[in-house]
Amino acid sequence: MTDVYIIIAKYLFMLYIAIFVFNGFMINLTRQDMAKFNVIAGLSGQRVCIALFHITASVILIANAVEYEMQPVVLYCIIGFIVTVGGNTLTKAIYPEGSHLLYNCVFFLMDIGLMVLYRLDTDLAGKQLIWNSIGIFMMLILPKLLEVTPRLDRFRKLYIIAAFILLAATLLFGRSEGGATNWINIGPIGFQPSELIKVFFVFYLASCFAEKPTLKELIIPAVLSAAVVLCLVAQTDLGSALIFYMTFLIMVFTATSNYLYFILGIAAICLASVAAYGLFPHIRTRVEAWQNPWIDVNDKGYQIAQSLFAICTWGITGIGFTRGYANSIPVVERDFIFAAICEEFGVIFAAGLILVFVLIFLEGARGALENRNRFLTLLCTGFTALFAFQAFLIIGGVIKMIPLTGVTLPFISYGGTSIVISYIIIAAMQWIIMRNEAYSHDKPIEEVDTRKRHAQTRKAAAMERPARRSTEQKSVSSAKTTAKKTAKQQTAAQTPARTVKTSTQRPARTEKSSTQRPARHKTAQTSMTENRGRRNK
Amino acid sequence: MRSAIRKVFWLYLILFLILIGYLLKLCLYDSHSFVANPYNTRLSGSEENIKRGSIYDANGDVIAEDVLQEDGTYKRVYNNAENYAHTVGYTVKGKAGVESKYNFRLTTVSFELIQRIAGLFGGKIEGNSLVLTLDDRLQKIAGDELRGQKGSIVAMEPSTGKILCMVSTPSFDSNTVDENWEELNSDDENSPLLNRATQGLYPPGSTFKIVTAASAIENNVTDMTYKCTGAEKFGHSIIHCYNGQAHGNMDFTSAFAESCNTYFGTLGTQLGAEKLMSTANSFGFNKDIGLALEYSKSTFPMTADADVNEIVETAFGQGRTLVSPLFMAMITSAVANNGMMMQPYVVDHSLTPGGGVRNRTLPAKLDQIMSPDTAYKLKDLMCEVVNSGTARNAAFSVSEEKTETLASGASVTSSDSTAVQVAGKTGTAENPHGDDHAWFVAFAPADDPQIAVSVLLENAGKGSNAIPAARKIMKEYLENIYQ
Repeated sequence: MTDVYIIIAKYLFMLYIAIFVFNGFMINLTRQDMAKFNVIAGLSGQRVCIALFHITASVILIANAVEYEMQPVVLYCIIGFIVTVGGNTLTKAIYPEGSHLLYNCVFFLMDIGLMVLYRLDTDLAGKQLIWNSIGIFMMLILPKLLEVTPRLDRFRKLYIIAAFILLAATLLFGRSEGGATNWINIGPIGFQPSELIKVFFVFYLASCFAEKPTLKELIIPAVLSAAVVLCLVAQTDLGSALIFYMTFLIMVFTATSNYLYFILGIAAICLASVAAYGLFPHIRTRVEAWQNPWIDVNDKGYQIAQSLFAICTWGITGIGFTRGYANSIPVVERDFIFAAICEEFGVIFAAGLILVFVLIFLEGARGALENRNRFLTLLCTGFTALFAFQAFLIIGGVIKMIPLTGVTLPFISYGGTSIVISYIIIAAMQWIIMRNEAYSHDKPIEEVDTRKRHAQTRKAAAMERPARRSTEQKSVSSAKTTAKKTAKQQTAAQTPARTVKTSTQRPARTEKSSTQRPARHKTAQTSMTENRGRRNK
Repeated sequence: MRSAIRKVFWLYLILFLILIGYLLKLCLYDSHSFVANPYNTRLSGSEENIKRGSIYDANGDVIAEDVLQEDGTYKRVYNNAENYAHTVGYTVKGKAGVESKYNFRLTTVSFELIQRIAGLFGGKIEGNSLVLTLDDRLQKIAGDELRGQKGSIVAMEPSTGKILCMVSTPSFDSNTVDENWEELNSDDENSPLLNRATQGLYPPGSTFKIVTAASAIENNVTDMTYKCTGAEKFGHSIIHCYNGQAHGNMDFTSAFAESCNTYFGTLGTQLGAEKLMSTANSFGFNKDIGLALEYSKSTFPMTADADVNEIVETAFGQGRTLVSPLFMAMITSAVANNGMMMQPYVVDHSLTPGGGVRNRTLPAKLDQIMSPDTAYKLKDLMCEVVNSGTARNAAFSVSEEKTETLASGASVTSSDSTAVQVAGKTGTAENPHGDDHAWFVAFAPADDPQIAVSVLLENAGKGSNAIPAARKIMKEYLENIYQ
């Protein structure tokens, strides 16, 4: 009976994730006016998928536990359900103007992680539930806290100093685990500073590049970033080092729109990799295990070989939840959890999971695009880059597409610091998506009354459903008012921006006069208003 | 900046689509090459409540099947167990043979959902069955020939590498492995669990002259003539022909046909260690043969700096060279197959419970171990062994029954007897622990080879003693099996 149910459930899981991903992409296409789709219904459909996923998987866990002790698994499933569905509902209620698609993706990934973890290691799953709850709590309060903070782009020194203090602490008091010295013990709790450094690092770079940087202005951030990356290399935390480096490149590219920097950066990392391959034996071992794990299956190639067995033995539909042998893979609950998902839920489901990550990056890109403040745009870009490269490195490593670097799969792998920081990053991204154009260099900070704006948004959302459309309309109207304001300022300056440029004879790149900024701002906004107008037709 | 953000998103999208593409490719196309790795613990798992797939011979006769017992569990039952014991193996005590290596296929439940639902209503849940390449008729002849004798018989289809027959004795009963485990393991004298066909390593004796002759042909030293006096001194020791027989004037062909040791010893010194070594290496010594069952690599340990005595001994098949009967069958097949060595296999395909064919094994080339021209010349040499040399009693003829329908409607059956040209080589392997081992390798018909046979009889004396078994197998195959 249970066997039959597990096999049926295998196909149900595929169906859930297919609907989830389909809805996600349809919502995005609708936003681009490329499809007609009921956004609200789509989001609700996704929530139903998450709930059904949880229930379907819970029944399997409970059915398997019938012979053993029932109580903990039932309790786990119920609490898991409350955390997942309750957390999602709560965030939706508190932040109606946030990106609900992003919330859905995060909660879906979290639930997949919770279910797989329980099956792999019940103790860790219990802890993971606690970490997730803490993370969700952070995600609930953080946007509120960020609203009342002063301008965050003013503390670049603070960010980088904090980052270096954490790095130094790791180098001094660090504890080695899994080959990398990247743990610090605070009392009984292990803590991974590199996760927290991520946040500071992105904040630092975003505030450095808040004004479009010249080549000269790039030097200091580049040198300091290189120092951070080298410190991580010194801790043999290669995965984190790569993530930081790629995030740095993406942020520089976004801030300068200069391909040259990006290409040079990629060339540099290629050279560095070759050099590292020659210099460090542990890197050579890893590359060799990647090139041919079958030579030394019992030792160096063991992990990756076991991972490939797990992924491929049962074909693309997997063997069914709880029927696999994922525990044969070392550290399956952290780095190799993706292989366990492939084994039990099937490769098709895993492909869907990769697409859920793509949806998260899409929301990140949208948050960055819709924002007209450089600092926040860069912040959003940086956070998205962190997730993107982290997910890419570990999934690529587990399926042997690239050499393995041990990092966690965001929201799914076990790991306290990683989980909590991931939620903090999502909270920051949501905050950026929510405030859009309100946070601007052009105006003194007192002028921006975000609370008032959000109150308006909420009122509008309550009056006029669907909620998303209403926020869009709201932003259109607020864009119009800001446009009016800037127009006024312009009349004070008497000339439109382009003439200012020519009349004052200053090159555009170094132009930082107060007269030009609003003008540039205005062009962007009018074009956007035009877009919206077209869309409304 | 906005276009840069868009481009970065497209970069992510492409990277992650590549991930998905790679993942699907890995699972759909690349997985065959590594999933069967012995370190994959998933393959050895099995479920108690499913009916393990049956194992059939090439004609569909049952070799092994699960039989439902009164208590509702299944018991594995083997037919003609002694003939198949080493190849098919057993499911108890950690499994062996096909039962072990193909455990995954035997326990894979096709159309799982349907079968599981049927299982709820009392239907049986059945794994996929296996159809072997072995033919029961040949297995029976080989088993009978080997009875009371230590040894092994392997027959192959030269063009495909399909193993038609593989028997090793002393054998055991797969049905009673559990009961007799202690005894089977402690019998060091007979080692019945050892599959002599694939794991037994023996000195090749004169059958190695095929390799030496190939080396001579490829290096153009075939015009040597020599007067054999039955013994010759090389370095510090004297080499004798079998029984000290003096062959008289020998050329390349007659020396091969008569298996003249002193001629081949001299030929070895002319070739030198390096050339002999290079031929042996290209023949596949010291290499994996890609068989799915347990096997031992045939070894050729001589190096370039070997002394004269080692070269001479190696050249006529003594020395330290060791081969398995299967490997000798592969070499013989390669000669028959224009120099192309095929990968040997014993499992032809899987069958789903509904009779659908899955995982059909496609013949795979192992290596072109010699040029087609060399193979052709070797074939002539081996024909001469049967026509005028040491294996004259290997010749046979097949009778073909023709049924003609006359105009009146009555049918007349007439029997035609056609002689078959056999190509072969005998070998007598000197054995420091006892009597000589008898070797015979052959293929037939020489102009269109359909079967290659390798027979090894431990301590059976001279090589020609191994000929009858090979002849019977070839005759049966050409007369009744091969169409």
